[in-house]
Amino acid sequence: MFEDQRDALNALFRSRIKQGAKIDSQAFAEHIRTRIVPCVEAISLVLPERTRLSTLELFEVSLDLFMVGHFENESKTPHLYRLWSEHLPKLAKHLACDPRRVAGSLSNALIKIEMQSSHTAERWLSHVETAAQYTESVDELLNLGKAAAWLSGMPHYRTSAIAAMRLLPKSLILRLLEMPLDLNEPDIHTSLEKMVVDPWYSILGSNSSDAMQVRQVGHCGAFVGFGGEMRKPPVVTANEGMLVASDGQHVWQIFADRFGAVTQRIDLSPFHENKIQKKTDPRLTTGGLIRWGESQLKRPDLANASSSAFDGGTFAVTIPTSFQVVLFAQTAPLAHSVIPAVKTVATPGVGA
Amino acid sequence: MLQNFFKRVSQSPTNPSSKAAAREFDVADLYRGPVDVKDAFASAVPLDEKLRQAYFWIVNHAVISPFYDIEYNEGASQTFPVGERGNLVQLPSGQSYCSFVLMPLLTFAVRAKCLLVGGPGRGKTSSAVLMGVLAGYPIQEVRRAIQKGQPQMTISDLLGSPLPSDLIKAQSIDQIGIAWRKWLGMRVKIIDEYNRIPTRTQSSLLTLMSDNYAELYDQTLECPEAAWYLTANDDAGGGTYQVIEALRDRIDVVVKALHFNSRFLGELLERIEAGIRPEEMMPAQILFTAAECDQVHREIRSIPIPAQVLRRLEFFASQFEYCESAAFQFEYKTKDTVKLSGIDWQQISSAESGKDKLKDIGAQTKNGVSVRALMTTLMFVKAMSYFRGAAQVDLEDLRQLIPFVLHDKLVQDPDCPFFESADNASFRSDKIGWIRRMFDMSCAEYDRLQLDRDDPVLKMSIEFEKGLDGLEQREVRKRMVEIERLLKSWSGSRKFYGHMYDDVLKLKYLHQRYTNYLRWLTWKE
Repeated sequence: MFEDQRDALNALFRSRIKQGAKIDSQAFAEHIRTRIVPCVEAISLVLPERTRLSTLELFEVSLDLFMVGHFENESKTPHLYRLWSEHLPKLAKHLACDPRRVAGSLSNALIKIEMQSSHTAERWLSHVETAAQYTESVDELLNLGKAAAWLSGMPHYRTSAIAAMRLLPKSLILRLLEMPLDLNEPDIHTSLEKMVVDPWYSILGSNSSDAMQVRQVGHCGAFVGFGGEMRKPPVVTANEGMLVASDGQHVWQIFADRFGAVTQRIDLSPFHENKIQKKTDPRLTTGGLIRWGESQLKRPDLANASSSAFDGGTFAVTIPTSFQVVLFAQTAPLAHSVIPAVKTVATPGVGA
Repeated sequence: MLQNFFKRVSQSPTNPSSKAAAREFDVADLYRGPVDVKDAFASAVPLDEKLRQAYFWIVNHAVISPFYDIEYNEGASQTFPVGERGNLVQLPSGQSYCSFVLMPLLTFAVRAKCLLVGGPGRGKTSSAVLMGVLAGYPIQEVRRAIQKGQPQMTISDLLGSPLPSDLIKAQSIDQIGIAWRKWLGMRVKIIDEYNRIPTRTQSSLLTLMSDNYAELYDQTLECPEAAWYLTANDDAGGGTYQVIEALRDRIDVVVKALHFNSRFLGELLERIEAGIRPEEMMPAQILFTAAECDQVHREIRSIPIPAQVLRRLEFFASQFEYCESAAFQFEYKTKDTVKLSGIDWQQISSAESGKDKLKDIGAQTKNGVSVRALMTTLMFVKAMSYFRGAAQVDLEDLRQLIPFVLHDKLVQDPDCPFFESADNASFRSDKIGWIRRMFDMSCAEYDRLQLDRDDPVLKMSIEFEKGLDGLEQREVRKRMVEIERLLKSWSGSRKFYGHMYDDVLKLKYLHQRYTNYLRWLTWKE
């Protein structure tokens, strides 16, 4: 299959080596055999005239990835291996249209998501696999990828991911949200708009005040020695409408919604302040009782908390003996969320 | 490497005068990483920019047609006379374009119908195929969908066939299912050598082209809005069959495939040696999805045409229909009346008197401009401005585009004295140059009459368009007197030109509307 392009491909490989890239030729040959060939074969069945161009571009994208050390060790980026060997051949229709854009963008995304969490990468791949077959164009596929990133547990992308989601056909949005396709939803876009404003808005669940109760909705932060970011148990505060956490050395913004909670490092002065919100709702008592309007939640494990903060939607609590920030919201049960809460919301591991 | 050459798309902005779009940081950041995928953000490129990128990719990599016949100037340009007749070679100072590429591309953008004419092997079909690929269709699908005109072509070949099982079982004609041809559902339709299609089959093509649906056995198939490309080796009726006039009239623009410039033989050789077909190498970032095509169409329609430019078009178009000897009643003094009567044109045109036939551009044609041609002109000039990244239509857009639209619409009278002059004789064969010259003459006349400054009919029209509600009898009578005075001032002149004919009819219309209103006011009181 690569016979007539052998010279061109060899020249490409040699030019990268000349640039100083350290590429294991055997590993690359294995990559061609196990990952590029299946993609090219799939493309030749869909758009045979694009086979030549696709081979060249997939080869170049692979070299880009090898040059920065990907595909060296499967245990380092297992999902990238899966993307190339299992998922890309299934996306032949789009891959044929724009091989570099599709393979490159999805690889870049997966590398970035895998850096955040392996679980998030797993979920993202699952979303893409489920819905990609229904996309009509490369643009749709990439917008799907953006929306899937948010749904997989990247709440910091919520606003822009929803904007990308709104560009998708309604049926695809419903598939992504794992909602019935015949759902009598008059205006899914209105719901998406509400999800931009309210991170805890539930599309399927009740958003009436009766169903609203204070619930634990997630947690974030972990000890640096266990792959997290905190060197010391953090404290939280609210800063210009943002929830921020600091371990005394660095500061992170906390993003949380129905689909996950993460911290993103930001450039702010570290703080050590230990404030407990006791006077206004939501408030936390020394004994670990959270009061939020008519609703309350007893959490003895949060007794003697070191700090708490509220950004208008999410209530964050820390204790002196944990590297985690525990998050609460007044919301309908998360079981109604698209991704079952049980996957993203574990019982907070109080204590390091 | 030659393959890389074909993958290259012109960098934005392709026309630096147009504004660049701002980009916000968002989840798109997800796709930035070790693999350089700048193109991942191609969708953020404005569609007019994408259209220009497509144009430049085609002219730089796909179609070897180094002719910049749609000339734009920004400031002074250099001109050099060559040959015994001093033919002028102009070096345009602005971004200029090749009509053979640009017109099919604009046709694609406005979903119109383009006729590509020229000798065999000049790239007419290849150019049309490129448009199919641009619409995102696989090259093989585009090639298979080409309808190749030939004398045995039947309606079934063109549209489809009834299902044989239904033909036996069906109790009524509406129960017969039709296997429609796949090309009918495509957004780019190509008819190769359309003048070789038998007349009867041409008629079924006409329904498809004009009303966008196909009909067989009482069954109809609604087709999507599409760009049409028809090719013909000889536009002057040299095909196997005479093209029916209605079909010709449905063609929006005509483009000539020019000769191959032998200075570019080296490029041909490179392609042969590398075994490369440009249509197979079209970069994905210049492909248009169906949604993008719709969006382009919407954006083109929203380009405004300034009143001054529209007025120039009105003035130009108004000069062709009037034919003094055609009828007794004023309204019927048109070339259309002559055509419908079947009288010999020479007989009528020689009776025309009192006008300077060298200056009167109306004397150069045997017909006027149809409504369809005017609508096409408006759409194409909007598309041209959009393509150039302009905020509104410019007079030069109109000047450059109008010859391609009216190419097959205005029928030249080669016996007009205008063509007797040695300088003008070439316009008998060069229709593009001829129509552009007529437009220039029309604009010169418009300027001479100072119509931008003083256009009494326009003033009266604006006044009338404000509405009649609340207008008092005295004011209505005053306006009617003004119309009568204006007509009286014209009635003494022996030289009566086409634009005045339309003006007189407009004045008569206004006078009649005021008369009716006045009657109603009198009755009311």
